[in-house]
Amino acid sequence: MSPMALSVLVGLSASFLATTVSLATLFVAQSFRVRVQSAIASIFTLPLVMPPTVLGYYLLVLVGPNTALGRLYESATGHSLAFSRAGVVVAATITALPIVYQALSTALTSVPKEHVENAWVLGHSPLRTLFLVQLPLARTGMLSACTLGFMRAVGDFGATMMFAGSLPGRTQTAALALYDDFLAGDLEGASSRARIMLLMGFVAVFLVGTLRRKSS
Amino acid sequence: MSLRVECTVARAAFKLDARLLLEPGITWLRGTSGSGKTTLLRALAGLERDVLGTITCGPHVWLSATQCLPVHARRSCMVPQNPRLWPHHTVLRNLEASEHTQGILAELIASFELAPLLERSGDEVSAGEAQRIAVVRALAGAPKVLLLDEPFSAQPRLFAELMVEALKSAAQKVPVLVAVHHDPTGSALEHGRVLAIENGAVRA
Repeated sequence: MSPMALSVLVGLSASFLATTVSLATLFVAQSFRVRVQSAIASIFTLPLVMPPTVLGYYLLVLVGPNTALGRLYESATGHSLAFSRAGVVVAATITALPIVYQALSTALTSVPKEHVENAWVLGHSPLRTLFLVQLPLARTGMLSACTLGFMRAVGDFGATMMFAGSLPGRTQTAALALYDDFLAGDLEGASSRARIMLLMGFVAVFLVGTLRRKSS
Repeated sequence: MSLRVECTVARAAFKLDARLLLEPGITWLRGTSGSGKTTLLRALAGLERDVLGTITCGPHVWLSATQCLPVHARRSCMVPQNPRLWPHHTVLRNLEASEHTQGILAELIASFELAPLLERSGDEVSAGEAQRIAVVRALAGAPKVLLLDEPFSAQPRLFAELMVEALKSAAQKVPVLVAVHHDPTGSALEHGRVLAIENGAVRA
């Protein structure tokens, strides 16, 4: 698989995973006190203010080849999580989590409370209310959360490098391949990868901007 | 089935203290603005946080020191004073939104002249229409306790009178019906009790 194809695949998977985890957490947290909600939000925001290498380091400490969890994963799947494609997705997901969590949180809280309370008094459980009212009314915000998460995941360098390495054909994403091209003096290659990612980034930011205008 | 309420809600500048036995039938709740009418209805529906005390509906415990039944499980329905419909659904789907919608809905749509609105989206109706739709949908859901916050406030006289009639006939199926109303008209007062709330204190 080419580095660019891997990047797109990783971006889609990481964006999906980060959205699912954030949504589940936000759903459970909505019945908690505000103080607990802010504590959870802080934990999800942490990867944003950490050097990506620190994230990669802690992933190795938690689920690296020589840890209990890492060995459990290896015995279940036959290969180690670190330095695998699944490992690339895990690193990218952690990097994408803060931006996805915050964007989703904003999208859900922007749904007027009265629409949610209406669903409750009409006999709908909180889970049903999520699908009946909150998600449909927050759909533009959700879409921009997914888009931002996708680009953040595609753009990861440090966490992926630490946890999954830069193995050509296996774990080397476009961002890592660009660095290798540059070190090898292949400026042509580096430049063409950079151009593609610049274009993708512009489309993503433009899309998010359009969605924000539409929803406001 | 009656609703037994002994609860308090403490806010920074306000305290609700309710000791009530709400018998089946219509109860008109009166009080000046800021007296806690809406807070009381919201507390009964389960929408307010920090409600302390006990609320029991017949044999069912809604609130006690050890449990708080979530809103959707109470089988009560509250209609706020200025209800807004779901903008992503048509009026018809908004009307059918109750988990327990009964066959009476079609009849109510006809008598409240809602048929021409059914295909509009939920944000394309006036405040008065939205209020009518919300009351109709609450009635069609046949809740055990129906809580209405100023249900006639945006209604022309014709619909207000129609609504009083609908509430009267609903009172036979909805065990407990509490409606906030500043000045119940003579015809409304004949059916039901009047309950006064003052500075958050209410006793009955």
